[in-house]
Amino acid sequence: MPDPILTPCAARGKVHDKLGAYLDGELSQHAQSEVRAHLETCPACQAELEELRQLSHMLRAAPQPDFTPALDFKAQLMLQLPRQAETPQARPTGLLLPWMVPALILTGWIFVQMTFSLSALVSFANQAGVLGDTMAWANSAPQQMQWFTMIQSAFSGAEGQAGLKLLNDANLFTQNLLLSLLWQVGVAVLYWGAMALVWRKSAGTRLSLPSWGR
Amino acid sequence: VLEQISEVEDHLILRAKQGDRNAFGELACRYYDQVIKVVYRLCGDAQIAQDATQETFIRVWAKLPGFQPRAPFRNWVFRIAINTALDILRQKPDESIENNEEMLVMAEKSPGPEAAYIQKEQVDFLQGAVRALPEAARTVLVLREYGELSYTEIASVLEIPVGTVMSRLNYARTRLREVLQNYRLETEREYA
Repeated sequence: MPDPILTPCAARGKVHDKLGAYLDGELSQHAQSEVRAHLETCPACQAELEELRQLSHMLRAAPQPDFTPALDFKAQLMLQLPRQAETPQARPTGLLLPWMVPALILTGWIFVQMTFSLSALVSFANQAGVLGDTMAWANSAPQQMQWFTMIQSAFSGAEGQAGLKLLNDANLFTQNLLLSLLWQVGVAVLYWGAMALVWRKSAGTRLSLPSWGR
Repeated sequence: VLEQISEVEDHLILRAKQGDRNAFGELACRYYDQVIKVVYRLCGDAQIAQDATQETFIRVWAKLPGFQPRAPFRNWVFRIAINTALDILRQKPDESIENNEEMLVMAEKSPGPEAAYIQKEQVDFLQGAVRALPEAARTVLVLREYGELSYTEIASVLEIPVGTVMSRLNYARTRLREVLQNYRLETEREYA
């Protein structure tokens, strides 16, 4: 117990917090000599250091029960051990599919968008006469386009009109190629983000944590 | 000599990683005393400590194939031991001792009647006070005092900065000193 007549140390804040580390030999050489120099002139800190030393001694002197001897424990443990330790599992290939889905959809979508855009560009250039006679074949509906005319006539009813309207409305979103690409990339990023979270969670339980800890 | 011990241990770890149960048994024997000592001080109950130690080595065996020697094997084992002990304590709230202020107050006010037992009672009382410390401070204190780990090793085991180790240790020791002082004052008053 510290002597009650000891005056509190003036350097309390600076040195006091280092006394424990000093006792444990965990201070740098410079800090160690600083504390040692202070201790030579400060009875309050000396008393405190002695108290810490005593505390450490008491903690270590505390008795503990007689536990199972190590060899007996080993024998018990051998019976309890699972037959084989967990082996780090390779990631199942099935997990690759969810990763590929957005990539495939995005690639397909970009292809369609590019086709439409190029087609519109060529059509515009043709109407403007930029291409001359090179695109004359596209001006009339040839035999090969008859199927398209048939589909058009199939949409001529009320339901067909609604379907065409829907297609038209949807087209509003895809008119601007950059905008449509942006939102498609956004959706893909969200999807991959979710996939990354799932992967991280599964990796945490199966792959990375066994290497260090719980 | 230390290098030889380390080489033997590395060899045992390698064999155990490959599924050699005898090699693992040898490793468990080497670390058993250190682990149970720390776990007991953390739990404060011999039976829980024994169970937690067994569970620790089962977990170590299970996780061994994924062990990467980024840090010494001992630190890794201690980390698993601490987590296992705390898991078990949390699963047994009745026996949990975390933040048990009531226990601390009770311990502060119950010095024994016989002067001859004061020393022993102080030690027992101190153990009660350790168990009443918050989990974070108790863990650091136990690793230092009973595991005899350096601050750097404790930081590595608990994955916290060395500065945090120091501050938690300071807190734990200051708290224990306060409690011990009160205990002594009470005892002196009673025997005066």
